[in-house]
Amino acid sequence: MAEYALQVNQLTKTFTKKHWFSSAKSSTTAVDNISFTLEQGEILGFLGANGSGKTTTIQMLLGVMTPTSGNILYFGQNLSAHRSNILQNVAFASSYTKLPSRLTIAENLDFFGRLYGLSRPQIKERMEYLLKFFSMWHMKDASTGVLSAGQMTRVMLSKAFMASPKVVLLDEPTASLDPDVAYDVHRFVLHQQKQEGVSVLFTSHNMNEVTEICSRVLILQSGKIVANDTPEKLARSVSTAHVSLIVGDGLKRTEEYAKQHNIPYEIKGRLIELNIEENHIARLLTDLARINVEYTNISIEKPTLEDYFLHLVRNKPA
Amino acid sequence: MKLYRIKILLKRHLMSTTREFHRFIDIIYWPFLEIILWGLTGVWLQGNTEHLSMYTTMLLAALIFWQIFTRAEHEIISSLVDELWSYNLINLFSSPLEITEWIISAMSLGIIKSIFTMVFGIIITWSIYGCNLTLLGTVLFPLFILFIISGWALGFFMSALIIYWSHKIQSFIWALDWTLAAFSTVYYSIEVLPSWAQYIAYALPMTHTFYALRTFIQTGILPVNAIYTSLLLSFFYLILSMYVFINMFSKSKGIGLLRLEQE
Repeated sequence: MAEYALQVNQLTKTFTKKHWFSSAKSSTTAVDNISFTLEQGEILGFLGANGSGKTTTIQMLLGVMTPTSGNILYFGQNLSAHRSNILQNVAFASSYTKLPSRLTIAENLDFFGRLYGLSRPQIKERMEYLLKFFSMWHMKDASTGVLSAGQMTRVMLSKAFMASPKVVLLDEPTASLDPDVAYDVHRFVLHQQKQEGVSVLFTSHNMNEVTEICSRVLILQSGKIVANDTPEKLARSVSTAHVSLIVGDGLKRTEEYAKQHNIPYEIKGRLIELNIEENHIARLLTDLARINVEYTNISIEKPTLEDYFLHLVRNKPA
Repeated sequence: MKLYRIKILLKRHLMSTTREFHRFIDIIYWPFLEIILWGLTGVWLQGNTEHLSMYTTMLLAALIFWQIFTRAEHEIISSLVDELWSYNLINLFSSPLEITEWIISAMSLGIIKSIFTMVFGIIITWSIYGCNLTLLGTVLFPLFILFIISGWALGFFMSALIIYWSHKIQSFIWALDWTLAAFSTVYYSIEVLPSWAQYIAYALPMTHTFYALRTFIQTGILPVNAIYTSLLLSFFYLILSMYVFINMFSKSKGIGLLRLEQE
C-alpha cells in the first residue's frame, strides 16, 4: 500500500461551551467526521466558504488544535504521538500569521532555518535561493515590520520552504499578491511539487488558481467534505453554461424569452448573459432565430470550478 | 529535546531586547527609578547621608532582589506575550519546537536578564549611596537563586492564564505583582502585617528569603531554616505552576491556539 504524505481519518472537532451559573452546555461541530488523503507530490485544493471548518482543520493538521476524535497521519506516523519528528517535515504559510517585526527578513529566516535544524551554509544557500525567487533578496536586511502585505506573504512563503519540507500547508498564500507575483507563487509551488516532490495542501478563494495548480479538490461545507475530485470533473458536474450575446436587434425579445423560460440573465448595454443548461443551448439559439433576434457576437463559456462552488454554496441545505 | 532549538529561541529574544527600547526601559529604567526613590527615602528618614544605616542597606538590597524576582517572572510572561503580539505563536508551535524547549528558553532568559539587573542594581547602589552590596559575599548566590525560582513560578502561573485567556488577563497580572509585593514583605518586616495577612505572607517563598536577607545584614548569620523553607516553597510553587501552565497550554490547544492571536 502506498504511503500517503497525509492521511486524515474521521477527524472531528466539537466545541463545547459551558454556561455560567447553570449546568447547561451547548456544542458546535466545526469539523464533522472528515477523512481524506494527500498523496506524495500532490497539490490538493482545500476549499470552503467562510465558517466551513477549513481553518479549524488546518489548525488540527498543524498540531495547534487538538481534535475531538479521529487521527492525523503524516507518512504513516500519528501526529499526536510523533509531533516534533513529523513537524520537522511539515511547514505552513498563511496570511493570518506574521513574524517578529523588530527582526530583519534574514534574521527571521535564519531563526526558522535553525529551529528546523539547518546548518549555517544550508540556511545561507536556501535563503538566497528563496528570497531571490520571490524578488525579496534586496530587502533581506529590512525589518519585517515595514513590509507591505504582499511582501510579508512572500517572506512567509520563504519561511515555509526554508527547511525543504515534504508537506506544506498553504492557507491563501496569494490573497494579497499582485497577479504577476501570484503567478510566480504558482510557478514556485508547481516547481517544488515536480522537482522536490513536495505535497501541498492549498486553500484559496481564487478558483482559477486552484484549477490551474491543484490536481484534486476537496470542498468543505458545514464541517463535512461535500466534494472530492479533480477540478475539471467537479466543473463538468455543473450543467449550467454561460451564453453571452451582443444583440443588434431584439434585446427586449431576448429578455422576454429568458423571463418566460426562467433563464437567469443579466443585461449590460447591448450584451445579455444567460445562464442556461448546456443541453438547452441549441434550443435557445433556434428559438432566438425564430423570434428574429439578431446578434453580432456570441460566446459560450463552459462551467468552471467557481460555478460548481457557487452551486454548492447556494444550494446548501438549511 | 534539542539544545539548538533552545539556543536559537534564546538568541532571538536577546536580539529583540537590543532592538526594542521598552525592553531597556524594563531592565534599566524601572530598577533605577526604584533604587533612587526608595534609597533617597531611606536616606532622608535616617537623616544622615554620610553613612547608610543598616535599615537603608536592607531596603536597597531588598529592592534589588525584588527586581530580580520580577525580572525572572516578566521574562517568562513576555516570552509568551511577545509571540502573541508578533502574531508568531502559530509559526512557533507548528514547528518542531516542543513546549519544554520553550519553557527552558524562557527560564534561561530570566536568568540572563536577572544577572544584568542585579549587576546594574549593585553598581547604581554603590555609586549613588556608597553601599557595596558585594560585601554580602557568597550569600548573594543562594538568595539570587531563590528569587529566580520564585519569579519563574509566578511567571508560569501568569503565563498559564495568558495562554488560555490571552491579552484580556494582562491588567490582572500587573495588579497581582503589586499585591504580592505587599505580602512578600519587600519593604518591611512580617510583623508589620495584620495577623491574617501574615498567614498569606508565610505561604510565600519570597517572605522567607527577604527574612534571611534582612537577618544576614543585621547579624551576619544566614538563617538556614528560612533558606530551606524558601527553597521548599519555591520548588513546590515552580512545579505546581509548570504543571498548571502545561495543562492550560493543552486546554488552550483544545480550542485552538490561533484564536489567541486574533483576540
